[in-house]
Amino acid sequence: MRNLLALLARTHRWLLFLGLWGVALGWMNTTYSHQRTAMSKWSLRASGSWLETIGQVSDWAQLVEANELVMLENARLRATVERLREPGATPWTSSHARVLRSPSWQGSPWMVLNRGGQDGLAPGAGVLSLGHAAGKIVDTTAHESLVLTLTHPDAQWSVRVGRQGQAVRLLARKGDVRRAAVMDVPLAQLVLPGDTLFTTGHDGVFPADIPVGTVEDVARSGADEFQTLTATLGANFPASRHVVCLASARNARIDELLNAQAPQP
Amino acid sequence: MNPGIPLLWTLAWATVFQVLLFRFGIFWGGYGLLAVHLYALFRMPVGWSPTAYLVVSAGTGAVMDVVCFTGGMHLAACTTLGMAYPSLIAAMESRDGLRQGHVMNPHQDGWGRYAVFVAFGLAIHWMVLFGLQNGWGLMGRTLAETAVSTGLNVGVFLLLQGLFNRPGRASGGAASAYPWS
Repeated sequence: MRNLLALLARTHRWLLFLGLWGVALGWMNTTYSHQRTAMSKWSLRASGSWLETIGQVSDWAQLVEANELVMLENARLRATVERLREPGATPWTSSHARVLRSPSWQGSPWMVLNRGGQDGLAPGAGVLSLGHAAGKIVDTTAHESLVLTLTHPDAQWSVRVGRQGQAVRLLARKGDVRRAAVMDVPLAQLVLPGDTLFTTGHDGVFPADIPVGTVEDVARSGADEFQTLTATLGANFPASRHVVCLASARNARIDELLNAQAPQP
Repeated sequence: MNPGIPLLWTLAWATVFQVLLFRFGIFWGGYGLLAVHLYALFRMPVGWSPTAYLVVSAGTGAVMDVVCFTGGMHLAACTTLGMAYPSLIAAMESRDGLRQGHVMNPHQDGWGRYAVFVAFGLAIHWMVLFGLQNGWGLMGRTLAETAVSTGLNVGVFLLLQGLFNRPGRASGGAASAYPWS
């Protein structure tokens, strides 16, 4: 206490000076709008600066976590870039053909085109009709090609609902050339009638994100965690007259593997 | 005689004249203002405690604020002047120092020394007052107003010293060989 009094006695002149200045500023604050505005501005600036400093300290504290997230993001982006640069990502070539027989012909699920091996078509190429996935060429003659369409009951195709949906299976319904069934769609995925089905690109026949059709109906049994969709095929086989064939070097390699003689164990 | 008595008298008439008359002495578009009450403050004698300078100056500034409705600006300016007054006196000391109770005046300290003394004090006072009035945005105007008002008041104070503070002749008219007698 004695030391405190001694300190006050030693600094009383400065304390008095600061007190008088405080009285003067307070007096001006109650008298002049200009000074009041200036003091408000100083106060706001000081409080803003203080809050900004606090925010910077908080940001600094979270810097390590943010740095780790950025490193993970960089790793993901590097992986994406490497995947895009991989040699398998060969460009697709397209060619046109006219439809000689369509799946509606006598109930057959096959399609026949007027161009064949000598016209540049080869087994494994994907076929688009009306801008939608229609099937794949499985055999050719010199000037004709046989197409396995999406309506074939023994074939399965990899599709997804929307561009971000999970990969599911599309199966034809026997005798129906306009609709197909989409199996194994998780219940967790919200699917509504009218949603578009796209190819995934996983089967190697089509590139990803080629439209396949639209969802017509959704069936949930409740017995499992999946739902079954009824899809309207966009290829519109009965009305199909011209198609586009998509081919890539990867398709040819996959087809060669499938057609090669199975190795002996 | 106690030097505080003539100071009080000077302070009284200077403040009254400043309030009644010289407060309207505004020249050169507001750049030159008169502050005759500071003439009395510059007559505070040597030897007081620094706190006494501060209290007297702050009291004078507060009175000016009350009667002129200037809302604390004179209080702040005079408080700063009172705080700096001991240092001003110390800076003006000659080699022989200043005796206790000495009042700065041009007849004993020299006109130049007195002019410098009041110029520094006035500059401090006007700098604070115009600075508070104008703010940071008009610092150039503050400096110009400080310079002009300081020069104006230095001239006025020298004039007042020449008119009203002339040294009287020694009583009896006797010549002495000793300057302190």
